[in-house]
Amino acid sequence: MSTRSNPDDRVTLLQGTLDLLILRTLLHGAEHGQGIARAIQKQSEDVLLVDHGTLYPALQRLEARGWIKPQWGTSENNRRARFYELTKTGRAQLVRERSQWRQLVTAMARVLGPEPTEG
Amino acid sequence: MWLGRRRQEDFAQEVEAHLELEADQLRAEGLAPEDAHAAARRAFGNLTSAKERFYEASRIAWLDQVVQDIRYAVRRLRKSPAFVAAAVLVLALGTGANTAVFSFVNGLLLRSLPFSDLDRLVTVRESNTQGFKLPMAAPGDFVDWRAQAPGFESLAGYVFRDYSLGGGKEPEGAFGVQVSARFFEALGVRPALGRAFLPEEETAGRNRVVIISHRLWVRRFGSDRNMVGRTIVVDETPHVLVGVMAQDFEFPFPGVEIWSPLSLTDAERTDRREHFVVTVGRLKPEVSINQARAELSAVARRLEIEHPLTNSGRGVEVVALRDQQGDFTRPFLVLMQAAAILVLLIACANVANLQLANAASRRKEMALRAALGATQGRLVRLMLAESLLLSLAGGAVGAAFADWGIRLLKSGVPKETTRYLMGWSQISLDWTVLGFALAASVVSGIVFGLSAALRASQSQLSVAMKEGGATGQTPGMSRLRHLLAASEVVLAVVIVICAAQTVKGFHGLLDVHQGFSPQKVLTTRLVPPRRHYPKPADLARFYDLALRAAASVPGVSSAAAVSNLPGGLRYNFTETFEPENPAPGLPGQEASTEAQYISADYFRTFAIPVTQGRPFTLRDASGALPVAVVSEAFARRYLGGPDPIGKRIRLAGSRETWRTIVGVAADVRQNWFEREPGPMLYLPYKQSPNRQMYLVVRTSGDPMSLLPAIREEIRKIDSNLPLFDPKPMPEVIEEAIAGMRTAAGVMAAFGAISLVLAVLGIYGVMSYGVAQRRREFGIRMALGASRMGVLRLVIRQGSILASVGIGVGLVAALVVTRLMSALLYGLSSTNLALLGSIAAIVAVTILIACYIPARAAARVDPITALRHE
Repeated sequence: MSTRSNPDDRVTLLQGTLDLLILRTLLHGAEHGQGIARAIQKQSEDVLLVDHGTLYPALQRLEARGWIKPQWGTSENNRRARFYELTKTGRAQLVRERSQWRQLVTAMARVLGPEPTEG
Repeated sequence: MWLGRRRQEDFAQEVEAHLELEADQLRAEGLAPEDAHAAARRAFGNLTSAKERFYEASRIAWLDQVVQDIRYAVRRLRKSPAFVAAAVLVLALGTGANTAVFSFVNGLLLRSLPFSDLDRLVTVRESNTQGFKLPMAAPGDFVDWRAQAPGFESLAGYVFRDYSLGGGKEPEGAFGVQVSARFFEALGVRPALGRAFLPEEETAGRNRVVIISHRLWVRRFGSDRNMVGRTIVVDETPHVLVGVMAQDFEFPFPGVEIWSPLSLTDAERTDRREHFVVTVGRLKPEVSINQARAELSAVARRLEIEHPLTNSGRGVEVVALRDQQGDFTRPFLVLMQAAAILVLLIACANVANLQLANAASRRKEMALRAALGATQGRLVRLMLAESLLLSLAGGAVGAAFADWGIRLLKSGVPKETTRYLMGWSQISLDWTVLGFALAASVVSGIVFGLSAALRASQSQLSVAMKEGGATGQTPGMSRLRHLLAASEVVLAVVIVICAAQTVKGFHGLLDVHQGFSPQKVLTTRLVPPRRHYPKPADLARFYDLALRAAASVPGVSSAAAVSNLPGGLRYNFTETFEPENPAPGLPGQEASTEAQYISADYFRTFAIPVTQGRPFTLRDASGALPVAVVSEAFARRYLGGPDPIGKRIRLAGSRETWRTIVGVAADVRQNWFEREPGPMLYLPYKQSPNRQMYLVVRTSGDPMSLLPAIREEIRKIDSNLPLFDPKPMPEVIEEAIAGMRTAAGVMAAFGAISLVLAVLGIYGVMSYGVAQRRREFGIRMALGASRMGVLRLVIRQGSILASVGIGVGLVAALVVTRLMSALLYGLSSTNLALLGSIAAIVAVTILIACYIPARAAARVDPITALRHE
């Protein structure tokens, strides 16, 4: 996962979250690696930065599990690219992971408690 | 699977596309075209590392590495041919021993019954309240089981008998069985030519049909396919030959040549006293053995109520056919296979030690590889590849050894004996056995390879490079090597003791308890044909004449007839009887015993002492008072009391009357596998003559030299009667014990091999240690140690190894031999003298092996040793 620590507000991805983000991104339709990275960055309003070098092993992993399937195609600007598409099991996995993630977030919020007010 | 994986170029293209797309976007966002590419590269991160990660994760890489490992291993091994030769030879001994033994296990245990759905094939036996298991059922009971057990697809019975073949050719005898109608159906086999028996062929009058073995078909009928449907002469009556079995069909015993329908007479169909039907049944697919047992037990209980006189206390047992076979060969095979596995373990420990020595010199190399980025797993694999190559080569040579061993073992067993070993013809180096050899070598490769591999992969660079220099011996390593050598001694002691007990026990069996004298006795079988000797009186007259004729031959000191030879391969008759006044506490109405029908001079011919009363005389004939002689064991068990003479018993059978006991004979070992001689009932053959008898003749010289004279005398009585299987009595015994002799021989060989391997192992460790410590010895001597002192130092180390190994080995052997004697009879008991002498032998051999490296240590020249590095 992204090991890059930035001085700004960008957040290091937690183990496993990249997979979830990729699956979520592909819900909109087939996309190539670069597009996925860009989409995640954009949707998180530049908070999440995807290390391109770790993106591909993640895609490879998801493909091996049968959650996404690849297809060579052409991008909007006419470049050949490998597009990834969500499979049926991938879709199911997304639902499962999303609810797990929500549980985790709620649980974390309970443990951490309300944001302390400064001052 | 790996073929379906993505190729690397594909991945490279994908990354390339990514970089282009990113650059496009950056340009669109306003970056200068020349910066855009660089920025895209930067954003991607480490390109090479991404590609490497992709490569590592793909299976092609894995395969590449395996090929690399193998290539590397071959290269390494070629550099040390002596090591390879030693390792391959040692492993070949181990795998060869296992493979040879396994071919017997495979043939005699696993493959002896080549039938479909073997799990569903069972045999039904009877047991009485005394716990006597009767392998044969009473025909009346069999008929009821067959009619009343719904759990069986088919239940068949068969009866052993001899046939004589006549017709145009020389008459000959053949072994066979009479089988009930669904016999072949139950086994799930069909004749290779012709048909099986029809149900209606069980009825008398329609039963003049036979099926013959492939062998008989080839031998007597010249493989003529047109013979099927023709008439042949069996037992001097014409029979229609309806079928020929396939070549590998040998049920119920190897060497069976004729099957004919079993037609029970009306009297037999209700006979519940005599037991002579063996059963084989096929269960319905959904019925378990326990269900079938419950079903038949219910039938047996009904029979108990309906026929209390014969059936009270009688139960049934349903036994898987698989378990019923090889009852007495199995323990020996298990013993041999276990010993073979121990031999293989010793071989593994040996090779592991060789490898450790070999690996010690490679620690620097391994450390360097680790430093350059090889993972520990990769290093382990590298070493394992080497081990597997060695073990596979060992396995291949071992298979050749095994092939030779199988031939040797097979040739050592008399042909007559093999007739009783179901599956004997299946014993060969076939694919199953080769598969076993392969598996054994792969497993042993991993076993012996792992220790060296793990050791080597753990070496740390700094340590390896600094310490030890060229020698590279670390304390941990030498500890492991000593441990391995000591465990070799442990295993060797265990095997040698087991071997010694088997061999000693075997000889003990031969020497001590026979109870009769087989020397100088000639045996042959007489089977007077029914056609010429239809009535018992005719048979009695013939045997009487034959005995007189044989006794008249010069050189013959006595001649007798007996229904079955003692200590031979064949079972004795089982008779059921009731004592007139049963000993108190004897349950049930009837008791079982082995029985022999004998002539007057039987005890004299075999030199069996008659301890009370008298033996039979010529006057104990039909019409005279019915008499019997019993063995001492019989008297003890059934007639309770010191004086059985004059007591009476009655045999099962409608025409039987009370028989008076007139004598007691000393116990004779009838069966080599019984712990104690069982009860034996001797009956005068003249009072119920048998269809076949053994003629036994005691001679003053070589028994076989008198055979022509005896044959000539018998021919004068009946010119057509052949003398079946003439042979000296010791040969009959040899046939019965050949299996045990083979087992003892194999165990002795394994003991010798393991001792040699263990001694070589210790020798290897010691001489390697001495070579490593040359400098140390040099220094010791330079500082004033005497040569004798150095010699003693090394010897002491060797004796510590030996004594630890022998000590632990003796304890382990005590446990193992206790297990063994529970498993099989015929072992000598564990005694201190045996253990002590074996410990001494092992100790002395090891010390001799240590003396050689010790002397080398003592001869170290301090100057050269110190200058060496």
